[in-house]
Formats: sequence, structure tokens, C-alpha cells
Amino acid sequence: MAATERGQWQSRLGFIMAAAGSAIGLGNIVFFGANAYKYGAGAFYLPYLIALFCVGIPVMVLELGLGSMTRRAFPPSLHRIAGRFGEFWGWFSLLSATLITMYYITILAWCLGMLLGALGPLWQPEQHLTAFKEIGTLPNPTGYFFEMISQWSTVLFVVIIWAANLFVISRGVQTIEWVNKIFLPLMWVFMGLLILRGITLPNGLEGLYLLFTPNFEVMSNIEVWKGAFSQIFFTLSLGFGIMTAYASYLPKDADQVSNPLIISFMNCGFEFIAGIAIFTMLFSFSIVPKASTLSMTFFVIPEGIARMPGGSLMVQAFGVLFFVLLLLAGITSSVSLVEGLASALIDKFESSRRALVGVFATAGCLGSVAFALPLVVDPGLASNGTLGLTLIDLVDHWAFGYGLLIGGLMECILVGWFFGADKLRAHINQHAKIPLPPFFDILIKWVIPAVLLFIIGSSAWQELKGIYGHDFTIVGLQPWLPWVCFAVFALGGILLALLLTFARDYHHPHSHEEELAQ
Amino acid sequence: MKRIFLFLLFCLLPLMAWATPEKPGIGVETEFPMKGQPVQIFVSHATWQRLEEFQFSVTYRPNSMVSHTQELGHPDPNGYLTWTPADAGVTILKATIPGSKEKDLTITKQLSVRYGQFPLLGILIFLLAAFTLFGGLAWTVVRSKPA
Repeated sequence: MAATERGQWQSRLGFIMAAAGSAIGLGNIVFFGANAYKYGAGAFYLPYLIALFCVGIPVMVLELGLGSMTRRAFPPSLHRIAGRFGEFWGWFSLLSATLITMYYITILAWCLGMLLGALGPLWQPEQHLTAFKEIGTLPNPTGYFFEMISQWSTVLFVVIIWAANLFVISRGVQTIEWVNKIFLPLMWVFMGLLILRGITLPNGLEGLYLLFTPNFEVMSNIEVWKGAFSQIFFTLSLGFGIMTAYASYLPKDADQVSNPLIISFMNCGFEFIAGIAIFTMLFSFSIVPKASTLSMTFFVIPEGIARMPGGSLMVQAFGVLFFVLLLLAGITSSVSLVEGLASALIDKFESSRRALVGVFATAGCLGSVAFALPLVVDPGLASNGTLGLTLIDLVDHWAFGYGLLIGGLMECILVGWFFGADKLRAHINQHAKIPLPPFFDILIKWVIPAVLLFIIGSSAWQELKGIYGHDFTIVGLQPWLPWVCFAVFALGGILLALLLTFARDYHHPHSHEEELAQ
Repeated sequence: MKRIFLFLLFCLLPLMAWATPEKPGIGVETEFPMKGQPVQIFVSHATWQRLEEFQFSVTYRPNSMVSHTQELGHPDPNGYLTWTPADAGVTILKATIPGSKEKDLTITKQLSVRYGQFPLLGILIFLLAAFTLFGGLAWTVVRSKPA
């Protein structure tokens, strides 16, 4: 298939907007600041910046370089450089990303539910819980959230979010570009408004001090470094195969050094200012942050918004603004997640985009519905409450905590050891205004695999002490269910990846060397 | 007689409700105390018996790796205690009656403690991060512009 048949970005700006929109998601808005607070506030920024330059930007360069070099999605790109073995790891990463897409869209559906609540009922002092009878009532916004996720109406929200994704993806990359060109500037404007409100709150500026004043005692703790390197990997959407898919719609002479630099700085810059917006508010209202995306999104930050001065209209306005911001950021990310797999399927089966996206979206929507199941498993709300939320907890643990890191590790090994990091660097430098230094090869071959192996290994070591480590229990859950989830994730992922790898041969009009030389 | 009794009971009901001891809470002299400056904290319900049996403690930066708890001691018989915040940031004040199994005898309050002075290191890190991220973005955009 020629590049024009696959589609192509209309402009470099459009590509950058789409890639940055993909990277900037819910985690950037709510999680980064909370993570920084957890790991010693200002002291966290030093390992974070080191991780950005040592892992984040090099892997971003690798993924984009791979996409523009092969002009194929993630698995076929890895097939080009390392045969079926490479392709297998490409599919494995994409399947992990697909699981994440399913529950990510469920979380977006809950954001939509909270947005509707932000028009009024969310800000009532308390909520009567119809499904959690042992509890009776809970203060809002926690009460509203649990009442919402225990209702079947959330399934409708899931369908709406999938329909929005399907609408954008089925129309091809130019629609993705168009959507991002509108949504991304809007996100910056909305974030600007939140910052403005945050720093004008009583003692809001002190929240800035809370976020940045360092406590250097933590620097010797390996957990802080592990947290910083994981944060960079996840925030830049690395290991998902998205960036390779997006770069495959670029012309071959695209500058794949400055593009990843701009995308990485834009993404990290956004989470930097988002931290300011959130922490000025939390300090002003004396609210303790939690290092959990869901808690921050649905409980902690709405609690702060509920206390805003200026009357109920002001609270509603900022509540709506916050949830619209989350939806914009979430949809630009979910579109890219779906596109990552859609482009790989299109390359593999050479079928029409609409047909493949339709099939994939139907399966994905059913998965998201499973994560939204409102069946109550824990009526006392000592833990997650519903079956859907419990499933998210379990799947997130394996797919997000391991799948992407394994994918990232394997892509570095495949490029560094099978293909040759020097060859990729030579290709990228042909069109780069800022040439990559030879140090890039050492990072891809040695440093990044060592870092990722350490993170994966130490997390696996924790599992041996008891699943999820020592202090993690899910009430209302059979003890064997986490292991079933692990088996489904590991065995299911491997089997499906094998099936997709051997399902069909790629049709290459030119030899591997000829294509790369073109 | 029965009617009079019922009437009296009816009149007394609101008074009884009024007199029901409400759950105590933690009060603070100022909304935003400052690091290093003494502040009065107290158990806010004066009718509660045995106020001096409460044990106060404060957790600085809860939910973080640098979280630490400081025991503050017992308040005076009126429920008052002077506390000098050792650290700034978000804190949780807790008052309990040790050994008690009753849930309502542990009370908490989230409180922000101001820095008091300009945290130079914090501002330096803020500037370093901002300069690296936005400076890096601007530098790349300028360098990658077509000739």
C-alpha cells in the first residue's frame, strides 16, 4: 500500500498536535502532580528530568524514527527489522494497549457521567446510595461517583465515548488531525483558566511552594527513581506503538529528532502546569493529595472545586470546565490508542479502514462495558464497590504495570541488538536539523533496557511477597481472581499475538533492504 | 394529667435534642497557621467530658514518602494546646483518646501550614523545570524551522 492510500498528515503542525494530544491524557492532568508530591515534591523533578532525557526522549525518537523509516504501524515495523519475532512483540504491546484502551474509555465514560453531575447534583452535600445499602449515604463527590458507577446508565456513556472515537478514527488521519488542532489549544486555554483560579485563591501560591519545595532525603531511595522513570514512560505513551503508527503517516524525510523533542517537551510542560493548577487548589482548601488517578479525578479535585468561593454557579462552572478538560484530553488519547491497533490491522490485512475499525470498535466497546459493569461486589464499600471497578484494578495492574514496560524493553532490544541502533540513527540523521549523537546507541542498547529490566524485575519481586505487594487487598474478591487475570493477560496476550503474527504474510513489493534504502 | 405530661414532653423534645452532645471536632486559632509560629489548637466541643485525655498528633505531608508523624501531647482541661508547626504543607491533625475503642473518640482535621518565608530552593527547582521544559520547547522550535 502506498503512503497516500494509508493516509498522510496534512501538515507537520497537525502531526505534532495529534502526537502531543495522544501523550497528554488524564494522567498528565491529575496524576503527575500527585506523583511528584508522593515522591518528595521538588526533589522528584530532578530524577524526572533525568528520566526524560535518558529514557523518554530516546525511546520517543526510536518509535517515531521506526514509523517514518518503515511507514508501517508498530508490528509490521518490528517485522521489517527483526522478522516474526519482532512482529510478535509488536502485537503483544498492542494487545496490552488494547486492554488499557478498553478501561480507559470506561473511565472517560465516568468522566462524562461526572460532567453531567457537575451541572448540579454532584455539588449537593451528600448522596443517598441505592445500591450500597450498608452505607446509606456518603458525602459528595465520593457519594455521587459510587452511585453513578452502580447504575446501568454508565453503559450508555461507554457507548457514547466509543461512538465518538469511532467517528474520528473511521474518517482517517486527517480527521484525527482536525480534532487535535481544535482540542489541544482548548485544553491549554482551560488549563490556563484553572491555574488563574488556583493562584488567586487564598494562599493558593503556597500550593506552588508545596509542589516544588524539595525534600532531598528521598533522593537515595530507589523507589523515587523507579517512580520517575515509570512516570516518564507512561506519560509519553511509550510502548503502546502509537507513536510509530502516527509517524508512519509522515513523509519519509520528516525530521524525527525535533518532532519527538517538541512532543516530549509539550507533554511534560502540560503536566508541569497542571500540577500547579491542582496544587494551588489543594493547598488553599487543605486537601490531602492521593497518588491515584481515579481518586484524584473523581474525589480529591472535585472536593476542592466544591469548596470554591463565589457561589454555586462558580462551582458548577469550574466543575464543568474540569470535566470537559478531562474529556478533551482523554478523547485525544483514546483516539490514538484505537488508531495504534487499527493501523496495525489495516497494514496486516490490507482491508478497508471502516470495516476493520468497525469490527475492532465493537469488540472494544464490549470490553469497556465489562469494565463498567455496575454489579455490586462489595456492599460495604471497603474497597472498589462494583465488579467493573474491581476488574479495572486487576487489569490495570498487569497491562499497565507490566505490558507496556515489557513492550518498551523489547523494542529497545530489537532495535539495539537485532537491527542496530546506529542504523536507525543514521537514517534519522539524514533529515534531522539537530543530529542525534552516538550516545543514542548506548542508551538504546544498554541504558534503557537495564533501567526497564530493573523496574520490571523489582515489581515482579514485590509480587512474590504477595500479589500487589503487602498492603493491597480488594474486598469482595475471590483470592484466585487476580491470578486468573494474570493468566488471561499473559497467556491470552501471547496466544493472540502468535495468532496475529502467523495469520498472514505481509505483502512487500520491495525487499527489506530496498524499502529501507528508499 | 396525661395531656399535661404529653404537652410537657412535646415541649421538652426540642430541648433534649439541643442538649444531645454533638461530636467534637478539632479547631484551629487561624485558618492557615505558619511554619515555626505557635498556634492554639483545641477540641471544639466544650461540653465533652475529659477533654484533657485527648492525645493530639500531627502528620506532615500525608500520603507521601516524606510523611512523618509528631506527637503533640494532651490539651489543658479546656481542650486547648499550643502547637508550633515544624514543617509547612498539607497536614492532618488527629486527636484520640488512647485505649478507647469508640470510633467517635478519634477526630481528624486536614490543615495547610504556610511556609512563612520564600522557599528559595523550591523556586529554583520551579525555574529549572520551567526553563528546561519550555526553554527546550522554544529552542527546538527555533532550531527546526525551515531555512
